[in-house]
Amino acid sequence: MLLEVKNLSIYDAETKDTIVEDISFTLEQQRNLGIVGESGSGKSMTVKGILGLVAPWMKVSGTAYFEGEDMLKMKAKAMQNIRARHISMILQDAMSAFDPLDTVGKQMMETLCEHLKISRKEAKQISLNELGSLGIQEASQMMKKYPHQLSGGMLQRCMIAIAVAIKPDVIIADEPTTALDAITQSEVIATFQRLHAQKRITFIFISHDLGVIRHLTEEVLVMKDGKSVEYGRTREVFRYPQNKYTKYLVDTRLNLACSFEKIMRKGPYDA
Amino acid sequence: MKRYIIKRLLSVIPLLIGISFLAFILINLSESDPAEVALRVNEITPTDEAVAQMREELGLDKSFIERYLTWVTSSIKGDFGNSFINNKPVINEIVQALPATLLLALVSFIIIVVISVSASIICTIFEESWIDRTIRGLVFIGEAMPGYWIGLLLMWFFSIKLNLLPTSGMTSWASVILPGVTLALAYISTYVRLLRNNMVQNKSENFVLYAKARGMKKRIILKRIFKNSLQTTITALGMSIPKLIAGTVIVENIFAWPGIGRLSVAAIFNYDYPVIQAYVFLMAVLFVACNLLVDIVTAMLDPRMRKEV
Repeated sequence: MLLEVKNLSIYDAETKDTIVEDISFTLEQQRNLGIVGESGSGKSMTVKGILGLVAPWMKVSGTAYFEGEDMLKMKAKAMQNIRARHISMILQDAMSAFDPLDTVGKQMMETLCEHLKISRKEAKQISLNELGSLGIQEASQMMKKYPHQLSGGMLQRCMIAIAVAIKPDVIIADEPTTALDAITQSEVIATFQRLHAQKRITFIFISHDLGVIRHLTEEVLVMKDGKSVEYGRTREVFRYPQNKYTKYLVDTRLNLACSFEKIMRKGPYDA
Repeated sequence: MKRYIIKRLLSVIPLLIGISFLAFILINLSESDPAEVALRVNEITPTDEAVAQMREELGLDKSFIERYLTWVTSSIKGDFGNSFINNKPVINEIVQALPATLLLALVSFIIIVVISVSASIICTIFEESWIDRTIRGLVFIGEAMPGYWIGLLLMWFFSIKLNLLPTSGMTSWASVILPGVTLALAYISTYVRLLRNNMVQNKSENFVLYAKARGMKKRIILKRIFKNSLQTTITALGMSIPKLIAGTVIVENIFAWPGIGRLSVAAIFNYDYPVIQAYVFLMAVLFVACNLLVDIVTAMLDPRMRKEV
């Protein structure tokens, strides 16, 4: 077992709202987890809460055990180590994720130097390799660019490259496909599948796109209004949804996602 | 970048022409006759004959445009004419007084930067803690108190009560402390507020979230927040440099600091037109030059600006 979350709740002390209530799930080695729900259902908040990435006025309670230690009780330094080496996150909005005043390459290398304790030269080589294996041509040119000079898809691949280069145990991808066009979407999905198979990385996918979740995950957690409404094996949840809301989601959204499924089956270019 | 600098340099020329023209007009609008003034300060009775002779001597009998052109062309060469009071070249007087003012402005500038930057960083790290609140409270008080009053208070406390620092004049290195602090105080409050608020705002930017998510150290994240918050501060700070130099007028008079602020006030009281004109012109050039410098520095700092130009 990689990560065991029990009774996680997040309370906003400023607005006095409970944003996430009593969420529990476990993440097993090599079994990807999907978290689905409409926007505002607390999906992102749940993982940010676990990683200590919420604002100071957000009170997180419950437990989140990673390798026998409760992440919610960790000191800042230990948490930084977890984020650096063990659980990487790919943010939803790639366009604003990098510091606009610095080149993307410098930010990539800075991360690798820090976490892998390697020289800048080695970090550069690793970055180039990872970007190359993500299908980016002229990676060295790209690393010299500033964030505003690159597209969302490119920046997202930079985030993926950083995450993969560190070889973490878990990668959390928050809405990895929402900001991308259909062709880039399917390429990114294919990349995730390859990483999962080759590098043995376990993923947590957060998405409101049921097609993506069905494609990539073994387990699924369905959330509504900050609460867990259904949790179980993806195939079973999708085939025999127990909860009314899940049923509604599966019936309506899966129809919408059909076109996406078609693209995935045929490949992006002959769709 | 090179093209941008050249473009900006060229745009300065019409601006300077406009400013010098305005400065010239404003002084010519004054009711008193410069020739009469020049005679009076030299204790010569301004008879009609003497005034007419003086007018000719000062070139006042020529047309307005002619006088403007003569003034501008000689000003460019550094010749601002002679003072009415002591008949010495104005440029010498200014060159003599300038180092004192520059020293005062430099000391203030250093105080402003050091205190504003460190206070803002402390406020950002300890956002909404008692330290942050205390600093912001002090800033508020500092903003509400007028500079000349603070100057007098400081003088009373440090010079008269404690007898630690000289009250006025430029006698030792310690003389610069009180006027420097007085001049700086008015600006510190502005910059602490500006920089702190920018930094606190940037803390919730997405790139900070991602820097945390990829496990970067606090110090590195703070550096990124700081750099991203600098733009407005640098613009304002750059514009403060000429303000500091020009704005020393009050402080220099309180502390009897022998700089150009005091020189200009004396010139105004004496209707010493050549000195006033030269002062206004030099200050205008200073403002324009600093503005230009700020634009270039901000363009160099921000890659997005570099692309647009």
